[in-house]
Amino acid sequence: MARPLPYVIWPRDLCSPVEWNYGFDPQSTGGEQLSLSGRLHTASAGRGIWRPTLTTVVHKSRNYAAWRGLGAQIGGRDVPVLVPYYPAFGPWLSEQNSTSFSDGSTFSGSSEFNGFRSRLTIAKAAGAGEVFVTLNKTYAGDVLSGHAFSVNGRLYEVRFVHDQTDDVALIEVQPELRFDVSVGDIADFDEPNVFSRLVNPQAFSQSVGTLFDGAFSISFIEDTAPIIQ
Amino acid sequence: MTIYTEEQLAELAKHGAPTASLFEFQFASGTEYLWNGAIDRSFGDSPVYKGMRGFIQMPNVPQSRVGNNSQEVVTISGMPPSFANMLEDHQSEVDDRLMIQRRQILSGLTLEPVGPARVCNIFVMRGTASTIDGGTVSGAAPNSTLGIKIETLFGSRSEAGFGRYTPEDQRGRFTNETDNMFNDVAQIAVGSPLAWP
Repeated sequence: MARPLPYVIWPRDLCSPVEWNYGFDPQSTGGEQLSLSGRLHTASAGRGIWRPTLTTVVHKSRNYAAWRGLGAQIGGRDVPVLVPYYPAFGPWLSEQNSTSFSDGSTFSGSSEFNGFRSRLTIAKAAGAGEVFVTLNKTYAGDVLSGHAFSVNGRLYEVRFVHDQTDDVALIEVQPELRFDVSVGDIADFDEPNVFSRLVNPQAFSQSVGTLFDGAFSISFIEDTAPIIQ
Repeated sequence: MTIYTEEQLAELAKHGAPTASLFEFQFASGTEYLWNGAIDRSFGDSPVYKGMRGFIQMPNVPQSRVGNNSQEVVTISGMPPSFANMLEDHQSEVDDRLMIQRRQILSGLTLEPVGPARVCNIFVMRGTASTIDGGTVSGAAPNSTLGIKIETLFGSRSEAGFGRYTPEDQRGRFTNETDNMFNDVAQIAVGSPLAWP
């Protein structure tokens, strides 16, 4: 039998942390490294990895059942988790996109549902290991260094913006692309996720009181392996 | 004279080019392409190398100056499922098969391969030694490790017949021995049966 779950999506609102660390580790070394002999391996052949940490996830007894259910499903390091990147502050426009009911009608006073805050897609295909990404900006403000987005569950941070108009942005990302990206793939700046596994399989075995928030942290590390179902 | 192209030398000088170590294991059941990076990727037209996330431990094996076979062990932890079953005794998977180590220079700017990958070393695989540890009372997770014994290419060279050893062989193998034993061997042994007195 295959793995019972390919991955678990972290319930962003139900188990929201009080504190978080987005945990990007660039794994870079200082200075100029020469490797003429071919034997020294001084410069990293990658651009880093994510190690997010969520702290104080259990809030009194309100979401304890959800916490236990989540821990049971994840089963230690068995199942990967789509961990939310909490401090998303992407390239918002000042006005949020809004959506009507499906038949086109609105609330009284013509107000509508809040929609997405940004909408960007991949404009040019790129292969795993590349660092340059071209984005189509359908509904977005200026993309800036430090913005983070995910494509197919893999998280990237904008390192440099090389060229940008109102429609297109050529950016350099870190870490390097985990997988091939295709034209039209959504670059999710609104609610980015990072495909991770628990660092410690016992991370969910924590002391939790009924009267207090569970003041502990659980650490993840990005899982760069392909999803094997 | 250099094994690197002009393009690669320029890249090395300019950005301190990162280099990727690529490993090709020619197992009996199929060839595995692994490298030590974090992702599965190809380098130019090459096959897709499985990123081993730093779980390959490759000893530094110098090519012997005197033709000795030095034996080392490559350690692979956290194996891809495709050869996890080699943890059982799969001697025939590796016996006398080659392991090729290549080095690929990448652009420091784009992480794209620059020029062709260079063959760094060719080894002969000689056997496996694996460990499977269960979870422990102190909380360590179960883990398994595959060790592959490798020798330099000299390992595939057949040994010369005893009678053909020369003083050079002695100097190469036993530098500190000065008894000129092999001089005598050549004189006594070649072509004449030895009779026990």
